[in-house]
Amino acid sequence: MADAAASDIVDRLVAFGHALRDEGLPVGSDDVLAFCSAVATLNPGDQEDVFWSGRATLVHRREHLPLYDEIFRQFFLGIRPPRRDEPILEKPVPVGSSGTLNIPDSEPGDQP
Amino acid sequence: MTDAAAAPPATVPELQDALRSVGYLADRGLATAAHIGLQLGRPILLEGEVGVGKTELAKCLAAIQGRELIRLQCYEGIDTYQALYEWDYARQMLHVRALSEQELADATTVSGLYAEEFLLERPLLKAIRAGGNAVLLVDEIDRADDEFEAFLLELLSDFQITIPEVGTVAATSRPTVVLTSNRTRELHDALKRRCLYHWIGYPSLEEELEIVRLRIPGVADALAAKVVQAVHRLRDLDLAKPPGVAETIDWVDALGVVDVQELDRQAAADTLGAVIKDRDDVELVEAELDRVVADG
Repeated sequence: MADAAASDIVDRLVAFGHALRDEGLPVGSDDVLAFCSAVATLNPGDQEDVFWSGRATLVHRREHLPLYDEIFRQFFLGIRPPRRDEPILEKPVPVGSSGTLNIPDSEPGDQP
Repeated sequence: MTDAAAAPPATVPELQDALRSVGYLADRGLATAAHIGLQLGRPILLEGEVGVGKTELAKCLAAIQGRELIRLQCYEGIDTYQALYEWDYARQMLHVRALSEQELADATTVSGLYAEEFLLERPLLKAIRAGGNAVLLVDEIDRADDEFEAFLLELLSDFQITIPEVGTVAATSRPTVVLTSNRTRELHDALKRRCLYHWIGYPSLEEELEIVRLRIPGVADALAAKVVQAVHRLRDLDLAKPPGVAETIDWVDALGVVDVQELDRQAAADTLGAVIKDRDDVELVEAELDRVVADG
């Protein structure tokens, strides 16, 4: 039972790593491994622990931090960034074509 | 109290408390990165502005664990030998001379010169030998070049070196490694991936005030707050050398020395040298001084 819960946690952490990669962050498999090991030294149930663990293992450049923060919020907290006013598309999108999701630039946080 | 290196604190709050006890205020993010580094034995790369406490963290991590701090100060042009070891050429020559004068030199003399007693240990070799009893600080790695970075990366992976004639020296346990960078250039991905990453920016007004209170117990709150406010305004100016946290503390100290209770224009002008170190910056600041020390 403990194993099932643990593997659920690991799945979630790995999925987060992939989510970052999907958004263009250069997250390697080693980084994801390090992320899981890091969380294992802390409390996987504590979101702040998970947040800071990811920031230390999945991000290697200062410029990537705002994007990391935003994706973390979406993935773990379900918080979508507020949208700026976008022109409403009059033309219906044909079935089968892909839409584009416009995510406005996140503000660089006041992260110390 | 400790005659052997102590185990690292088990939790992030405990680590923060331990650091605070030696005068270092680490926020949750930094403390978490440090905790992970200590627990996993992974190097920690600290990037950030000058004077925000990158080097200081390494010193404090050593202090709280009763470990030796071994510092490798990087600079432009540093080569692997200066960081690792050098042969004591002068001593070797004297040795050969002495043997020759006594007509004791023979076929083994030259190879005998490449022995432990003629080896000058530099920080990296020292760190390999000290192993888990040390914290290795590789300071300002951005000042070194690509080649040195590659060499360092190899060392961080194996923690051993082979010295011809002497043999292979391997660390039996790994030291804690902290690297710092002022970001004067971008480090290579390979090195970055080997490390945990944390960016340290300037502290917020509240954080810096807390640091001043911690470092200067008994400081008048109003004065401390005014100085911190002034320093934050100084950082917004386009200075060549913006003041770091150490300068904030120095400024409060300097004002205490001249027995000032209030940071007004005159007091600031008199003590400016404690916080602004660059000639051109001084001129720029003097023009803005009224605004810098203004209330509110």
